[in-house]
Amino acid sequence: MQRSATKRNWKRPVVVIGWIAAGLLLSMLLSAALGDKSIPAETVVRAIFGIETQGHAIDGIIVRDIRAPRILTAVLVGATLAISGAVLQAIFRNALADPGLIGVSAGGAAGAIVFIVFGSWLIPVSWTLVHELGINLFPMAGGIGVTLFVYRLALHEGRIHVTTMLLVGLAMNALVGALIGYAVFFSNDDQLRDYTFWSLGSLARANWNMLSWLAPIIILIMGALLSYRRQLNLLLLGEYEAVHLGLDVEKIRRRLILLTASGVGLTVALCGMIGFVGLVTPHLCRLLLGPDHRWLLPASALMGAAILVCADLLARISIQYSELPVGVLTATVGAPFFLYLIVRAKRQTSI
Amino acid sequence: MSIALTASFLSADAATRIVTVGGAATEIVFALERGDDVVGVDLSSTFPESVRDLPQVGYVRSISAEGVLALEPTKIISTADIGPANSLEQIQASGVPTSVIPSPSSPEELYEAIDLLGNELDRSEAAYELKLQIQSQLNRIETLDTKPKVVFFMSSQGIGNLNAAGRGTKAASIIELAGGVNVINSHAGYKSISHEALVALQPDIILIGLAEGMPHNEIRILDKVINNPVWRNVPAVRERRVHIVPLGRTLGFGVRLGDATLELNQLFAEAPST
Repeated sequence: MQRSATKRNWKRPVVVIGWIAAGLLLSMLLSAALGDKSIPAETVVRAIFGIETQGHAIDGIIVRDIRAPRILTAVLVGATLAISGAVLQAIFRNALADPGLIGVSAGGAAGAIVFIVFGSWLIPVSWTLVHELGINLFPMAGGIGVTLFVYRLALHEGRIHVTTMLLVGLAMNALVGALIGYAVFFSNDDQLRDYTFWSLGSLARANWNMLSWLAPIIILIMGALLSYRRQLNLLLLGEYEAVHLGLDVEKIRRRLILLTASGVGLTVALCGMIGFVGLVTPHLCRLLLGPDHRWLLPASALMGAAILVCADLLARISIQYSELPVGVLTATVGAPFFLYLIVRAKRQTSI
Repeated sequence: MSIALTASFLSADAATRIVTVGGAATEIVFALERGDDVVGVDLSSTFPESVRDLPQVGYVRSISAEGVLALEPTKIISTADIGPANSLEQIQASGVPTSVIPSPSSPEELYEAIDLLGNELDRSEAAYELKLQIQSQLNRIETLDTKPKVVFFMSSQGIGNLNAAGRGTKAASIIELAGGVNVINSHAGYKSISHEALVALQPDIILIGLAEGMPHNEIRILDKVINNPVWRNVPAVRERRVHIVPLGRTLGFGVRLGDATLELNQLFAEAPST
């Protein structure tokens, strides 16, 4: 009896996660096959497996050097955003926690525009490498800095005061908004347009070079987050309960915040602000799998990846020969879902 | 072997397919009579009229590499402000010959761009004539005894601030070319200026740049400036010398630079000096 119960306990999650993984794979294949240029399936398959695409050199280049790095970046970024959302919702014990809420995105945006506008003045050398590094490090540092600050102020006698956290997050967003305002005021036209397009979120910067260093970092961060799955389950019981169960809550929380802020900060640096994937995906997964983080974290990562791959595909094909910023698309779908969550929560508490 | 030969023979014979990115690049290619080969343009290309029917590859600062390549171009011509950098790299990596011309902001840079494309497109003679034509137009510019004081605003379509062109803008360059003085010297680029500043600067002429092909109400925009009681004593407003100018032609620094400069010169010459 006991054994069959535990068996049933893991059978369903594994099947569900299997389906999500299959969905991700399908969306990746679809994304590789579709686009402005219609490319025959055979050429797509040849390009994926690195076989010479005779007579279709450009088709091969499009699949291998434009679509493939983009799809893989979407996978990494979507997975990072979703798994970070799931972790933050657990450590803040708040269903509405989202990387945007605690200041990662705002801090990242501030870092980015400060670098775009003042970068050449802050770093007086013209080495491409330094600037390439800067445009990635500034938003990351901004994201981590603002998040840690919000966390510090929200901490009261070892507990996170959720209302304080939301209010501090609000105030920080306003402060960072002012900083962005200064930078916008001092920017020239090109800088302003670059910032505008960056802030709308896009995966168009993806290439193999970027992937080669992004992938190991993201995989490390994701592995580290997954290793905290049991502690996250304990945290769900409540902070005092977790402490009594022998958990160093303070330390774990600080580490997790640092990890998620680094991961999300990095994605903000590379792709701009892509909202709502981190907020909505964990909720979808909880509907399917329940709150157990052993399943919730990998499921969120896979589903977040699939959602962003699909969103990017839509962004690419919705306007012929041109593309929509993907952040605009995720917000269009995600914001109404967010409203639905709020309305549903209200109805449940009133009943 | 024979297959390879036919393939190369075909590609040599097939029509040239050009994608142009950047208003100035498009204008020059059309002026050099290679417009029939153009199969796609970007959003900043608005002249000649017929380009509006061509496929769009997005805005010059956010070009989609696949969108450009999907048009199967045999040549890509862009101004230097094409972005993001990654898209340009991907386009160049595809092996399609890509020429990046300077984004002109002076007659000299325009001539350089025309020369480059003349060579590139086998139209050296037409390029030479085009340059001569623009040069002769610019030579007809009247030198004005007293340079009128000019302010250039980006149209705000009735909302928000008035963004005035400062130092280093194309607006400042063409005002200078046409014989005027851009009185906004306090900032570079486009920034909003206060109502008070406009009163203090006492411009003789106010220009308002308006994007072509957008629905707008010229009368309402003019009305906002002319009937603002604060500006009653600004010479440009008092003398009704507030003019709406088409943005693409005036600031594009493309093949219509001669026309646009002459036109401004005309407006400036009519202004009584204060």
